Amino acid sequence: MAKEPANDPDQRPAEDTPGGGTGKIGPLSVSLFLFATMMFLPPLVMLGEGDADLFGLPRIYVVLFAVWIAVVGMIYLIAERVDRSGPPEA
Amino acid sequence: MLQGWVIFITSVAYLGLLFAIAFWGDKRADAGRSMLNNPYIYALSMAVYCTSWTFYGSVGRAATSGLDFLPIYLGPTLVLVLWPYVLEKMVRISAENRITSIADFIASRYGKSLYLGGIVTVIAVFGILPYIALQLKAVSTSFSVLIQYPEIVMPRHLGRVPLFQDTAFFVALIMALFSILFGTRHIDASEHHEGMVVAIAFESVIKLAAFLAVGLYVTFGLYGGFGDLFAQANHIPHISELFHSVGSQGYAQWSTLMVLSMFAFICLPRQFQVGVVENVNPDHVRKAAWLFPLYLILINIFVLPIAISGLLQFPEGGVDADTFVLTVSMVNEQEGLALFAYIGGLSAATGMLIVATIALSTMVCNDLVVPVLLRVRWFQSRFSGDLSAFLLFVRRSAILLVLLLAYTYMRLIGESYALVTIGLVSFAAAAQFAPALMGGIFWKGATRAGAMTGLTLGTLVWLYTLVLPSFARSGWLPTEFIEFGPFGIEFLKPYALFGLDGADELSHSLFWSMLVNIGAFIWVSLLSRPSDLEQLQAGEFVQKLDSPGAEPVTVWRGSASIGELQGVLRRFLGNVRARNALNDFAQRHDMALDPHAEATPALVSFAERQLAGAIGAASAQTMVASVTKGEVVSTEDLMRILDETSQVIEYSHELEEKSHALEETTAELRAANERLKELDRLKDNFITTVGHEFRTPLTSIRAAGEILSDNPDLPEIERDRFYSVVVAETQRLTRLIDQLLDLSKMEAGNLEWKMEPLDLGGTISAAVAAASPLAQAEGVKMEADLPDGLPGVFADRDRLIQVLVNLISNAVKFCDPDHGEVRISARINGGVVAVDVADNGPGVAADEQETIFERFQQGGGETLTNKPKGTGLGLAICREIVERFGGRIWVEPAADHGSVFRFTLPIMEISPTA
Repeated sequence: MAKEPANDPDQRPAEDTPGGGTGKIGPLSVSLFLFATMMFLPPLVMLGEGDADLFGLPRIYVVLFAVWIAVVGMIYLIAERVDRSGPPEA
Repeated sequence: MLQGWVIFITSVAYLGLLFAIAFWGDKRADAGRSMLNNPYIYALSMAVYCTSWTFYGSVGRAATSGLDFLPIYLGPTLVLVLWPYVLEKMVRISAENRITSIADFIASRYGKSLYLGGIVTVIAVFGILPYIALQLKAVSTSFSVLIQYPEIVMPRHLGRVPLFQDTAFFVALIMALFSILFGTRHIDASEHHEGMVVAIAFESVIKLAAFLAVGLYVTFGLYGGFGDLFAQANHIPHISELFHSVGSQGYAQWSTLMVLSMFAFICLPRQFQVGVVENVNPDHVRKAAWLFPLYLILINIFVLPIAISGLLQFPEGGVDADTFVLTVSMVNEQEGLALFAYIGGLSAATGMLIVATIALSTMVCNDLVVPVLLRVRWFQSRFSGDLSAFLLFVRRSAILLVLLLAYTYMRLIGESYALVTIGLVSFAAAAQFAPALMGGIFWKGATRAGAMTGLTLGTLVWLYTLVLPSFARSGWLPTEFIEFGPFGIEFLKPYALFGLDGADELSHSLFWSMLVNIGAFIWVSLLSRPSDLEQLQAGEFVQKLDSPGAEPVTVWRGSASIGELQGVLRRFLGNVRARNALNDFAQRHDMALDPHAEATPALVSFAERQLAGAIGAASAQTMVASVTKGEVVSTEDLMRILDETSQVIEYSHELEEKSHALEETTAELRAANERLKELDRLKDNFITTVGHEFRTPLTSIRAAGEILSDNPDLPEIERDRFYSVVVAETQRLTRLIDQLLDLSKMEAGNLEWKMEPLDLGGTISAAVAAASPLAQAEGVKMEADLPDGLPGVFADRDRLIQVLVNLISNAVKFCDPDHGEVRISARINGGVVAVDVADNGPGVAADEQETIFERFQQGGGETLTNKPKGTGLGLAICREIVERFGGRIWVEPAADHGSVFRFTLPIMEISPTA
């Protein structure tokens, strides 16, 4: 059976495990989480409701997917573009 | 024409392809080129979250209640926003502890508890079984619907399908085969099922493609894009109201679904399996954190359009909204698309079936069967040989059993339920794990008792408020207890517990079960004392983020021979694996594997972890304990180790402090000794000096006496001269002795001081007056420069005059012999008054400025050839007196030549003259 170094914690060299410190990623993630949670839950989500259309589409439909895409974009930026090796937060 | 055989062949071909891909994945992995080392495969495998419930059920839900299918997919997005804290942490913990399932994870966290693992497993099996049944039902339904092409007939009008014509039955069997082949290849369940994961990733692609194909066809084929579709729907009020509000089922339900899906995303056994156990690299989590939500967005974009088009296409109703994905294509005679959609639905169902059964079978084997068997004595004695084959047999049986049970459940429950409800009941069951799981990795104080109580109570509430009423609705229980409460007790009504009314049943159940679960978890944790092993594990799990590279703590201390450990490993891992693992360890630690030698603690821990991968952490601990003699870990031992360590640290700390104190004392003693030596030297000097000082006048007196006695007829004048020498020298001796007595009294503190407020100006004038005859006699010009308003001081008047007279007479003695001048002045300087006695003599050498205040030290030092003019005690006495008054005395060179003797005295607050 194949055994990669990463499979076996006993064989994983210490330098292979990236630092556990989350640097800036931690605070950024938490703030994005709070933002997204607020946007998706009442009362803020109710602001998108109503009969009005946006670009000819139901407004709430557009708003929900737009926020969703924005949140995923933010996760992408945080996960892939923020340096992780910053000092771990206290 | 979509003949039955076409559908059948396609299904079989698709499943065959799945087998082939899994087989290829395993082969690649065996060749060392694992597909799993790819974050995209990992992210796609997570999409096992989207089952046939998503594929068919979302559209059904959207068609009946609008947008509230969405929170189920927003929840996982929210969880993944927190990926560094939640998913990645769980992945790291699991990799290090060789966690095999969520039951194993929770059991391991709470002191490798056998019971907790068992409870989690039982809840998981009963919670997930209906969900698995739901997948089978979806397969069966979709097949039944599709085979009627071009007719649109709902299965409930077709009557019961006989067992051996039921697609679901065959699919269940085929999935069992797949899971057995690709899910139980290794005895070590913490190893990765490469083939299975690759197949799941492939299925995720297929179901997404199929759903997008249907969505694109509907939106742009049947209608002129989104705008046209929504515009048409807007004309029909009951459709239009579906997509203008999220609260069609109440905002409580919207929020509940979001919370529920957040919990489910990490607590569902199949999500734990693909997200945590199958992860090969914690770094992959980072990519999956945005890739997977992206997948969710894609698969959800067309849900509403398909639902609306279904409602528009079948205005007269009669077609289940759950089948819209199929029937919309069918009614428009898109055979190929309908078949593709059916395959998509099949792949969504099979993916879930495979992962869920593998996860459940691992849990059933490791956390239910093995712990029980290990306790049964006859089993121990009968199966003393290699158990690895037996373990695989248990897992394979569990897979078959779970699938057959699910199938039976599906046959029993029939058409009584809508798809979505079953899924949500399962979600609510999985959510019960969340407090123990999340509390376990963030709160060190969480205890086994707390987790067990919370889990059990929460699940009971779930059972009472969600499952029992649903049974009643299916006609298995009388419905009276829903409407009127059990035994007519109103406030126990399962849908309105304690009178809490108005919320939907799901929110109601989640509220009560979570309240009880979290409440009990926290309170019992606070009130109970964790065992030592629990504390250790708690530290391991909670602090994982802080020290990711740290080796797991080695807790074993009892003695086991390497041979015995080999025996245990061989029993559960099989001969080859056990040997490989041990050789590996021996090589890395550069040690020989003598079967009779005692195993090091590190080796025992290593063996335990190897076993944990195969039979779960709790059982592994039990098994290793069974061969480790002495008090094994006997966690008391562990604590003692910790205790001893901390004691040793404390001792060494104390020791350090003491040696430090010792050093200080030694230094003090050394200093004291130096001081004593110095004093001794001073005493010797003093005696020598005193002797010398006494001898000089005595010699003069003796010489004068001898002359007088030897020469009786000395002239009168001569005789008088000698007599006067005797008198003068005797006076000098007396003065010397007086001063010596004074000084020693002062130093001993025996002198009586008449301290009183004094007018400084008056006192100085008195002293100057007393000394002026002396100055006149020596022909020295003396002047006093005393400003008005000199302040009062607190001193002894006679002593102060003594100081002044002494200084003045010194000044007179040492000033310029021809034009002698002595000047006395006083001035206020800050809080003190300074009195100067200046002369115009030769001055005091710099190195003598301090020493002249010591006893028998006179100006001029050794080089002074002149006969000393004083006793050498005057200045020492002056210093004693001034310091006694709280002042200071010193000498400094005068501006031109000569020296200034200056002393200070503190000013009294209120002048006595005022």
